[in-house]
Amino acid sequence: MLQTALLAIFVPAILTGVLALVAQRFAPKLGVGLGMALGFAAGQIALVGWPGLMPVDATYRLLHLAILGALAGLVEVLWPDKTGPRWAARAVLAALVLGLLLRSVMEHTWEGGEIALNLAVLFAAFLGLAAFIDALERPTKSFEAPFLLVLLGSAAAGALVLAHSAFLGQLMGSLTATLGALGVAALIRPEIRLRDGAVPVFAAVFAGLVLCSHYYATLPLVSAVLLVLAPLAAWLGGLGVMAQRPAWQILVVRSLLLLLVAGLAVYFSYSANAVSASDPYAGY
Amino acid sequence: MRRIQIFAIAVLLIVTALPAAAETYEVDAVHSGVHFRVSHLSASMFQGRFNDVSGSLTFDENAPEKASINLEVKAGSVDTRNEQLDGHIESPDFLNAKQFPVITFKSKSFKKKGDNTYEVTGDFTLRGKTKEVTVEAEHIGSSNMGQFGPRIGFSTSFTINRRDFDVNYGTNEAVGDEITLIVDIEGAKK
Repeated sequence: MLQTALLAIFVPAILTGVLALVAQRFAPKLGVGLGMALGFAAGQIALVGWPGLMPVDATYRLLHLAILGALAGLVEVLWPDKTGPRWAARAVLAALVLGLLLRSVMEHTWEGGEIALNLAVLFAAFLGLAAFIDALERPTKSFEAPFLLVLLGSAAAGALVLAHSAFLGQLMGSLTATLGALGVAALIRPEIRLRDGAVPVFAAVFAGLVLCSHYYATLPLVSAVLLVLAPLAAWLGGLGVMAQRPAWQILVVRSLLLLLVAGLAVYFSYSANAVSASDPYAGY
Repeated sequence: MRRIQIFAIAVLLIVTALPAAAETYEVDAVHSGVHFRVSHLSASMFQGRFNDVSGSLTFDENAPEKASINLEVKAGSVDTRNEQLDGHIESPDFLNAKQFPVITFKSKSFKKKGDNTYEVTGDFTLRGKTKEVTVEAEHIGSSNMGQFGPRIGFSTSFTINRRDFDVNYGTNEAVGDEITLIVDIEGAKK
């Protein structure tokens, strides 16, 4: 257990933090998304080994999605002020996430028009998640968005474990560890920001984990939706009258709102997967 | 009259001397079972079973090389007498049963080895990965009792390494890499 925690949490964190900081010296901004992707990849390899270039199992393709996310992030770093390339890259990434993870669901579970409708909804949800992260980061200090996403990732990891998959929960832990490392790196070097290529990596892996947990484990739909909406709730906490308040108060309110929504996701995952009273062998 | 009797006896002798045609049997889900056995926490051997087994087998004792067997086990029918553990085994941590709903075995060759034993080689597919395995199967017996009709039974156990099938989560110390599958099949003539 301790060995797993060391490998799946500390290795991703150290790798991400070191890459983000070191890259600032040689190629500023390139290390943020890449560091997060490689950190997550290290976590997955620590848990289940190198999956090969095209694994049969969709849940082993999250590593590939992290790398693809880093490539999409590279587009954002190269053209930071251009909306077109940014969203085109994210749209391609969204299509890849859905195609690589949900092929078997499309073949065996969904039927006819359901396929197009569900894909359209999930495609929009992916782009929405990326937009929520963008919005969350914009007016804040650079460490705040990673901090808020660490809260989200921690809650999400709990929800995924409750949905019967310790593997997916620990992968969420690896992703959360990379965010924690970026938060610490941002405290040391405030110019390190998620917008420098990390948003697509986070969106691809976070959405991928939630999708896998919902379709291949037992994460209820309501929990999946709440986890995706949690960053939006946090962003709303900085609007209106709160916008005039000191930064620390905004951060506290955002954290509380995010925890409320993510906490509900955990609760619904717990209640949907709770042991039935008739089970005499509960708590294996 | 005597000639007819001799002819009839001759025909009967020829017919009985001919090898019986291969019979096809459908797996009787109630009287068949697939169990698994794996070490847990390096402390004990843990057992569970799959409740949904189906398939067919073709067998002719006089021509065993023509025999074949196709088995299909629903990965989501795992039963450990614990709902939570069943859910965990069905999850992406182990079987990933929603993505890979069936575990299959399709024989490719059937060879007589001993009096009632046969060497069966076939493709075993688990979690979307296929690997050739060779097992020693025992022909338990054949019967034809009243309403039950012709029946045939085989039994085997063999060991796989779960990592060959991408079941990679967890250490060997927590959940053993080697899993023994115990398969008992009863076929009812179609």
